[in-house]
Amino acid sequence: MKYKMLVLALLLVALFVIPIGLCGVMYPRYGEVLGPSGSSFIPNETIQKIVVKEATHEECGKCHADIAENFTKSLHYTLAGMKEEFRKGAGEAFGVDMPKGCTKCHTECSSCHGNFTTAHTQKVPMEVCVECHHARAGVNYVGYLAGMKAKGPNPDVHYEKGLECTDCHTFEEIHGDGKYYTSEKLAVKVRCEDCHLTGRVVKNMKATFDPNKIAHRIHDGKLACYACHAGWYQTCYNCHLDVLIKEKKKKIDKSYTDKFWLIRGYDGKIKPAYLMYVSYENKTHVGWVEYCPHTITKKAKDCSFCHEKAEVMYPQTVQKGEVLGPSKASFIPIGKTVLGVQVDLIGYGLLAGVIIGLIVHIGRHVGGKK
Amino acid sequence: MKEENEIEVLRHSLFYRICHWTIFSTFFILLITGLFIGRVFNLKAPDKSLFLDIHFYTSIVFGAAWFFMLGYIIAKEWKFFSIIRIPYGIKFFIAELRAWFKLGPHVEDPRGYDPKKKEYVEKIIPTEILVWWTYFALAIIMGITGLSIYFNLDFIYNAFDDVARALMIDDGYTLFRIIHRLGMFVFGVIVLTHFYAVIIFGVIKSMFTGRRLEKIKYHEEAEE
Repeated sequence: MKYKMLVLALLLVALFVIPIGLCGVMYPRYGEVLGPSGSSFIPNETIQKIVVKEATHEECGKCHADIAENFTKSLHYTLAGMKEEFRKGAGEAFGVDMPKGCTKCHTECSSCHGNFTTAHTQKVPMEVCVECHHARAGVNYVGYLAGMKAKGPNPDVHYEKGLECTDCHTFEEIHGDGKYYTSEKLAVKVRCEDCHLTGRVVKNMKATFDPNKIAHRIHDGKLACYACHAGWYQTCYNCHLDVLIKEKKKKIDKSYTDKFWLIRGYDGKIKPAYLMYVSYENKTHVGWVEYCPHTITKKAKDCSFCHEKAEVMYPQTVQKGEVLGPSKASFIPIGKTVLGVQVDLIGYGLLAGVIIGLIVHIGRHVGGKK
Repeated sequence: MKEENEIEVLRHSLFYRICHWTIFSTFFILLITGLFIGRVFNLKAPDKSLFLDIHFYTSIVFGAAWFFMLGYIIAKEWKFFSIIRIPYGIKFFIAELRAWFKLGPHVEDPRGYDPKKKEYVEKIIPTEILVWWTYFALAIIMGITGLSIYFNLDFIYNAFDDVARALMIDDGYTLFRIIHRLGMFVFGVIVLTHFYAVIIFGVIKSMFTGRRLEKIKYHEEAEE
């Protein structure tokens, strides 16, 4: 009996003492907070709020109000990029809504940060990004095809050098910057130039760039770096939307890694684009979307890769369709233009004019002789 | 058939004819390789770098032939092809254009040979002055733009960046490519016109044989 009473007494002590001790660690109340002005003890109101059930943006927002507020406008939360692309493309063409399965990627703070403890103690590892971005960018970056099902031709050179997603993608890009974007192309602000033109040092490695290379001089300002420096990307051919809607299963006919196409991006620069060939109830829709493949290589593609293959520069000649993504993105116009008029049209016009003139002249001669 | 008031004379020297046919043949090589390089009419070169090399080396011969011809003209035929005769050529062209639209009479063929002085009173149809100088200017333009593109002479085409932007073209490099491509069409137009003109003015045979039956005219008549 005495023994039991002792155990009970110890338990009661533990019940009161341990939380008080922990509070002492997290919320000390003795003395004053020194250091730069603005530092203070955690206010009592906040302490009362920290009764975290799940790391949702509502819960996390109790302390990280600004981040949570921005997060609700970010693409990670809204998925507006996917929704808008679907609406403009297959959605409009077939008159269907985006299948629910496509929106299961919807994230909360916990999706990346885990629970309350891990969120405050651990950096988000790259595997977490890859886990969701398993269709293209994430898995391709580490050298694999969609779903990590097989190895791709090469991983991204930045991955090989030990860089993780968050070394390039900023806090604002991931958590939102307070603006509501309808496309990932507009929300993602990081550019190769940010490091490679400034010589920034990342993880003790200095980013380099040779401005004197002929290709760099010729293409300066006209091409995105990854138009030439991207290794490959995955394109799925014929996504069966009806199967996805009815059976909630993904069904595609083929998947390529050897196709490479270029279009003119929303900012006027030439960029790679992938094809979205979607079928639904015997109808098809073809969309093209500008894209930054995460398979960057140090060695660029040679001139002939683009300049000797019309299908690379002008994919519309191979597979007609529409350019999706932000407005102003378009196919590369076939042929050069002067004041908006195609040079070849001017040329053909000149030739046609002189040929008609000569025919009329011959006609008059023949008529005159008769 | 020789008529009474005609005389057979040497119209084109051997040197001039060699220059002419060199230009003619190299032009066709440039045209064919150029069409394939530029993918005009969707033509595709089986080996683009080979076509590019042929285009480049042929253009050297083409350009050289033009300069030899220019030298010959300056030395021997300047009085017919002189730059100061360009307004005369334009005047003739406008008159012929008006006649073409039946707004005026045709101008009489001014060509003639003076057997007393053993020289031409007038050797060419005045529009030939325009054609020759347009050809020459085009050859220069095609040469500058082509070589700048081929050797990536950015100090040349970058100087035209502002001109390019005024024409809603990305930059000087693109402008040069456009000029080179458009120049090909203009060249084609002039060649077609030239080809037609040499037939209707009956001078094609003389470019092979060098000799032609010319109308007899005397300097005094021409001066009157």
